[in-house]
Amino acid sequence: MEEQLYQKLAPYGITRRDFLKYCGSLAAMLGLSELYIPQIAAAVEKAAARPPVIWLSMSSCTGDTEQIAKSFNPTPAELVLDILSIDYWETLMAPAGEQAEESLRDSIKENKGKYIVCVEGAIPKGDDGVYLTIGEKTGLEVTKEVCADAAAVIAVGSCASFGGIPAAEPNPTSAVGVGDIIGKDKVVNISTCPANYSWVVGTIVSYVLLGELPELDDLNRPKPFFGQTIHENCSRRGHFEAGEFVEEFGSEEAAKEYCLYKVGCKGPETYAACPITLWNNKVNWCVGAGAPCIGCAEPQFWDKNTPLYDRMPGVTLPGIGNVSADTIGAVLGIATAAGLGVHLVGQVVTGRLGKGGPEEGGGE
Amino acid sequence: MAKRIVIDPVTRIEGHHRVEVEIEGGKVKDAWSTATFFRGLEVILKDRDPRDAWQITQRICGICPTPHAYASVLSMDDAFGIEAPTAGRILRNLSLGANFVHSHILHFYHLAALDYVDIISALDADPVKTGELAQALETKVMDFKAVKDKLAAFAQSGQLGIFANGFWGHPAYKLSPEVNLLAVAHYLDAFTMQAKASEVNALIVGRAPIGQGWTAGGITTTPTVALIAELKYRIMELQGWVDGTYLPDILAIAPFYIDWAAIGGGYGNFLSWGVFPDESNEPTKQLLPRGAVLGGKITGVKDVKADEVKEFVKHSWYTDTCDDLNPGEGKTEAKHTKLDTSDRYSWIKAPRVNGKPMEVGPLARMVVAYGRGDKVATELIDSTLEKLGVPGKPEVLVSTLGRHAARLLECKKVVDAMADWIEELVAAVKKGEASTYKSYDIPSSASGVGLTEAPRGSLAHWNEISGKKIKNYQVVAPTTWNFGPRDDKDNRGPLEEALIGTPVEDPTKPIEILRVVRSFDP
Repeated sequence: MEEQLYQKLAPYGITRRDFLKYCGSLAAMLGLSELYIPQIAAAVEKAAARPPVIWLSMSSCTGDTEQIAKSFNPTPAELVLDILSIDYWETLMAPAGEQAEESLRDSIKENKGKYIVCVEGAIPKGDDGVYLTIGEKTGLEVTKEVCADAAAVIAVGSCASFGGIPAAEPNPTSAVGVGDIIGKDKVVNISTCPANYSWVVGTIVSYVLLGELPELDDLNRPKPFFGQTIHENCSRRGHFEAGEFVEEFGSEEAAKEYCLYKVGCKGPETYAACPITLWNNKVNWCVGAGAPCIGCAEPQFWDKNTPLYDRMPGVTLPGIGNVSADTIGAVLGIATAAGLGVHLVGQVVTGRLGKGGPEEGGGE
Repeated sequence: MAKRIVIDPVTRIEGHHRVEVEIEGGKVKDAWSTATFFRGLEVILKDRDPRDAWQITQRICGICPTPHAYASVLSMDDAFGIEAPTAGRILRNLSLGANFVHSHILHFYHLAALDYVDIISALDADPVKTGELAQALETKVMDFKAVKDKLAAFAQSGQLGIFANGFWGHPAYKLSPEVNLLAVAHYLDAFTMQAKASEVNALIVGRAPIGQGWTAGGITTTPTVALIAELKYRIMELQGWVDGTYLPDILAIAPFYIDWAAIGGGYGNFLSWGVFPDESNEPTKQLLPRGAVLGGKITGVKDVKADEVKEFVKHSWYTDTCDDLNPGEGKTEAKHTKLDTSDRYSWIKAPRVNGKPMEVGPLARMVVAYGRGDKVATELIDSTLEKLGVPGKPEVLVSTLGRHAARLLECKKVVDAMADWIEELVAAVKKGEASTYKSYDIPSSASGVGLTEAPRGSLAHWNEISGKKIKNYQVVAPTTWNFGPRDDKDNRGPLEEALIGTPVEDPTKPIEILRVVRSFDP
């Protein structure tokens, strides 16, 4: 019988117990129940060779790589040495120039049809792609070439998913997301700005270990990480429901951690698991720092959600106006919508919430 | 015969870059620095709400979003006629300080070190001797056997990942196998520490990179007791690591590469807008003061102002209407032509102070602080020069090695100051000055300038507001200064000049050029 992986690991001081604990943390990261641990353990043991990954940097700020470099459990060192074979990654790879391009060619050739491509940054299409060149090719050419033989393509961050900041009006370089180049159905989008490392690692590990990508929503985002709104899971939601709002940063209400809706929070219309996953070793998230969610998980948020500190335009919450039944359902959950609606109407009547509208936005 | 070589892409940097050099007699005779990437964020900022600027500009640089947020809110504070209250100023300093510490650790260990540390040679190391060496150097002792075993298993797998095709075995690598193993162990450990520094930033502004807590008028965060405790503990840990690992590591590696104290110097022109203001808000009283040095005259620090800056585009892919302008009136109109080193060859403009190309970064800041007689900077620099066997010779800092040494010493100065700022914050909160924010009205027309420093160098944002919207917004970032092309008088940019004279042993493996390039932290 073949030696079990944990037996191979024994000389390194890793016990069967450690190994299962590791599989358990992977399960938790993937949002899977503990029942999956044996299945994951079996898959880890099977995956003897580390899966090849090619990381492409396009029109990006490198913020997504930076976020991955903040990963804990697994650490970046574990990702690079133990879990994946990241064959091309401009920001961290040893070689440069010709030797770096050789690494890219080698990996594509040796792993044809088997490698995962992570794309960071938008792809500038304008003027034949002259706004980004890498090794004498345009970013557009590199993206097409490298993605052609990939087993899976993951758009890491808002820019690669939906165009992000370079694609904001007036989109000077005609930048687009990867899906617009290779086909929207061929890309998994981890669309926040930046992409949370847990969701990127979780998606890759899911694919590698379980042989399939997590279930996706209609924007091709993994449902475990983009299935609910910020508002649904927000730690300040109780204050929203009590009609307790921050009107100005630095105020008494801000210190009491009241709801940030009136200073521009886009949480009710933004789908992402930030309040649950949190950021940077789970120490905080935007709302935790008293800052409104700007809705960075959503397509074209730089144009649709701006001005960022204004109360959501055409907002669709009960009692405030412009109510859309669909959105109430999505935002509040059908079960609570009716009761909450009445509650909020009560707030408006007693003048605590105000009538709303963009001109009353916070921050001024 | 002169020979041209091209390095594209330059890796282990933020963004995309290309370097072309002409080599004659084994040395670089001429050089051209090309930014190969344009997004047009200055164009995107136009006609938007001024309050969106610090969110948008953070996305200029994912490694240094914090200084972009800071420069942007300073430019808006200036335009709105407001100043952050004490606790807001201190929390801004702490957030930016955390970005500095994170960035300096990441730069040395993860972006630059592989130019000096041969990871394959570490496989020949004796782990016991490595442990003894670490103790002798007073640097962090780790389980070096475990690291070596891990590395050996990795090498045997045949999948070298990011380490494939490195210049391993190149004669320019000078460390013994034991020092290489030590450095590899710390390379892995440093991942955790730069993430720890980012936790400090995330605690203050929500997450890192890209923190939502920045705003004109201050910062959105409330300085609770819990927050202060979380920050204090982490800062103490970072101080211990900088003193007990980063500092001794550089002092251990530097003697093997002492030649590099005479390579890659460049113009010796240095600019620092200065950063980390105290309660006086005086530019020259910042933790790292404002000033300029010309031609390596470290003792002759001059005052410098934002209106002395002009940008030139003779060699850049912009229309001629963008040429010869102070960024306050600056224009960004892209116009690409074929890459031609004798004509236009970069997406970066060429900024100059009174016509002079200026190097920016930790070396510039530490040189200016030294020249201004800053006590901590002077002690750190003088004691380091003594340890490296060149006492009283601060001019050796103007070099490839000097940039790494200055970055380390600055990291120590900043992390120690962060511990002091925690005490300052506690004192402010005790006095009842816990407010972090000053409210404001957006003026219908105004303009503002924000001058500060990113870990990699001087950063300035200029705004013009009309009808409560952004009419014009211009950014001159560190990479614009250091990696810009030639100007209208064909004077080289600072990197181009620094590359002149760099020895290149094997033009097919130009590790020496990359050492000079990466010493700037591009």
